[in-house]
Amino acid sequence: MKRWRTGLTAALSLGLALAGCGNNNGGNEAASSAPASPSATASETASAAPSGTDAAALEPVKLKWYYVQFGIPQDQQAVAEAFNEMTKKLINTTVELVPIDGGDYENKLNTIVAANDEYDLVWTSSWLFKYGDNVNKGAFMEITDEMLDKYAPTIKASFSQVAWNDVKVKGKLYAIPNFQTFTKTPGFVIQKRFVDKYNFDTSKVKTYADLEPLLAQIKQNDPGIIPFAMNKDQTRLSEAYGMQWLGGVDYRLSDPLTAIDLLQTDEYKTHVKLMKSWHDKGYTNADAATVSDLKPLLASGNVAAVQDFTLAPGSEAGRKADFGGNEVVYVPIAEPTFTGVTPTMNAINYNSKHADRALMLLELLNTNADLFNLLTFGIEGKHYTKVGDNTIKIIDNGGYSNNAGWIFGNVTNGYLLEGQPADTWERVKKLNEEATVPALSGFNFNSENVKAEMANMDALFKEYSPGLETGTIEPDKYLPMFIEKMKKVGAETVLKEKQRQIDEWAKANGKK
Amino acid sequence: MSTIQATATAGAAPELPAARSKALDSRPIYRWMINALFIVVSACIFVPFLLVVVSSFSSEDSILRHGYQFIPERWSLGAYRLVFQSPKILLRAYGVTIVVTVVGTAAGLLLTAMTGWVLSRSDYRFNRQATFYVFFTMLFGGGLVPFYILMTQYLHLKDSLLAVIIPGLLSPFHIMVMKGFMSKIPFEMIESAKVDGSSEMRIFFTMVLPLSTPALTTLGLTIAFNYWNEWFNAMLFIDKPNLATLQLLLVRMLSTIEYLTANTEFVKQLGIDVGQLPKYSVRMAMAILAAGPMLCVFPFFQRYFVSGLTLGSLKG
Repeated sequence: MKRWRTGLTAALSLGLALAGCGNNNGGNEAASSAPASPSATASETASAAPSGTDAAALEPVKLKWYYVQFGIPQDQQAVAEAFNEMTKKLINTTVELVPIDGGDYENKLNTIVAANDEYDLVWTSSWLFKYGDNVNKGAFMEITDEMLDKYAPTIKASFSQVAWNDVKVKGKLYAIPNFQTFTKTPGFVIQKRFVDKYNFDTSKVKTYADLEPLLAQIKQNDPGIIPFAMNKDQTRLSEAYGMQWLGGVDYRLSDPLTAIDLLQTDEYKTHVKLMKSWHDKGYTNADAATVSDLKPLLASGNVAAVQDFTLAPGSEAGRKADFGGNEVVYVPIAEPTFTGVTPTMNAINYNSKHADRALMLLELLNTNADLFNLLTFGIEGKHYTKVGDNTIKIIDNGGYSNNAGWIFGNVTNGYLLEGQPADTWERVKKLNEEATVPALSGFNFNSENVKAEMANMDALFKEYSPGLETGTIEPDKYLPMFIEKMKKVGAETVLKEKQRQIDEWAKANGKK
Repeated sequence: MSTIQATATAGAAPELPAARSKALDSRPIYRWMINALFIVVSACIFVPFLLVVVSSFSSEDSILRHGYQFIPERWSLGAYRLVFQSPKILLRAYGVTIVVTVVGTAAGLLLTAMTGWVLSRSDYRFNRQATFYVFFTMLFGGGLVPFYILMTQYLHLKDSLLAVIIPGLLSPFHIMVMKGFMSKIPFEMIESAKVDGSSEMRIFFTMVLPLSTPALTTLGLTIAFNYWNEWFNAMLFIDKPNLATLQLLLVRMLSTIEYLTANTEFVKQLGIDVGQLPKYSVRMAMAILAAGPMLCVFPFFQRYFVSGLTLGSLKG
């Protein structure tokens, strides 16, 4: 309890500082446009008070919230009742929680939106029941700065301006993101026993070649161990070569506004050659070009190292099981980068009559850890047991085990699971704050104009890339062939289109 | 599970050449050719199904290592053990599907027969208009959204099994087939029954229905299949997990896997445990469990099904 409270105060004070900065430019505007506040708030303004005031002052309201679940929990009913008891007491609101299975979510919610069905809150994201599409359809209500200030100050403070901008569509906000890890750190995962055995200094690892001494020693002294395992779908970590892939384009970190044709770079050639040498020396698994799932191989405990795009803080403990019960260390090769907060958000129905209350509910989930934990982990003693101050163990087959805090609010307000280090949430917050924001953050390549070319290129990619990237085929022979064929199906047209879109985007966003 | 229907028709098919074999006796080569053709067709349908069955009994490990095989490296009952570990959901879905199928088929058949009978009667004054009214819906529909609005906002059928049963009760195609069959019933019979003082109801239940047994069994089977395979309406209108139908569970499982594997980047970021997804063999076991009962029921209906198919054609 104490820990989250200190964490919260820290977040709050930081947020206040941020809000203070933000107010300089936004404050005047907000004040002047206040009388003409949007219809959303108008209907309920009289009774609505900022969250935290006495529930009795609010008139009773019923909300309906559609959200995704991967597997509907058996004890949903019991949790929903307990949840409503709390919300009734706190903000005089009853909430009809409607969890929809992930498999149905897109179809069902699209129909609900098209049919103009009644609801107040809905979970949306950049990958399932897509946020951008629904904003374009006009399905969501705009959430103005005044609304945020009035009903959801804690949420507002918990995100940086960069994060808010990431959610905005044409400068307007239509959803409240949920605070979770929104950075990624490319790097390697190596079994600790080998790092210790060979006294390997992981801090010096910045690219693939730096791993070679370790791999060579393992190959020599540990028969039966695969030094570096790969599968057919994995592509190199761009950051290892000073590049990045974002929004559908490759570019150099030194020149982010210029799209490059990756295959023609020297770096790519170096990489596939390195991989070929690893393959020939037996550092990698021989079937790398055909195997799609590394899980069984990893689980045997016979793999020393793999690459990873997202080294999530605090997940080392969880990875232990993946590596056959062997401890692993994370070796990041680049600074964490901001990946966007849009993978999980909650939006308000455009014709919801209780937008204010919906925001208050989201705010409450961010300020009241008990409420958040109830929705995330269920009822104590029935669905989980406390094993530490802020650490719990989910009861197997307890009937509520989805651990889906990322749907409801700020995960750092929740409990930790057994095995997660006590400072996990601090690290998540720190990473999120420190993450560098890629220059192209927010850009997304639209392949509409070059659909045919892209399809052909994709087919070629599937044909050559696994062989090249896993070092199974000879780069001197196949790389030129690959490049040649790519050119034939229109690689240059696509590159030009990418550049055109980047230029346009850069202009519109004042980057150039 | 269109496979079941396909297997069924193909399974029935070899009987046809057998029936006509007298004419072809003198030329055995033709008979062999026809048999060979149908053996190939049946194999095309049967073999993939066999693969599903075998995969469900394979150990997860051998599927991962060698892909789906007809003779797996290691056999295992693990998939079924996993499915039956929490049989509550599965059994309940079975229950729901059985209720929907039984109630839907019985009610659907009765309504189809009644409508078909009325439309087949030439002494019904609005015969042509009514037929057109039914026929019209074959060509034009309101579309999904109006349908959804009607069901949820006017009929308030959300979270009710009626939402799964009602839309499948009457199909214009079934009515047309029924009408075609019933119009072959000699009208003189009906007239003489009337002269003897029988009411319309009695005529329908004691004469028309028994005479239509072949059409009823054929359509009954089709309707039953439709209800058994129903998932779309359930997906749209059922939120309560305990009212989910069997096929909806299957579809859900598959599309969930699809979404999660297609978006691994986000999924990883969010910390959804992909390891909890059903294993390859489990997916197959689910498919078998969903299709199995219909496979067992079908042979009992097959006799009527074939006679239903041929009887109509002979009458013409």
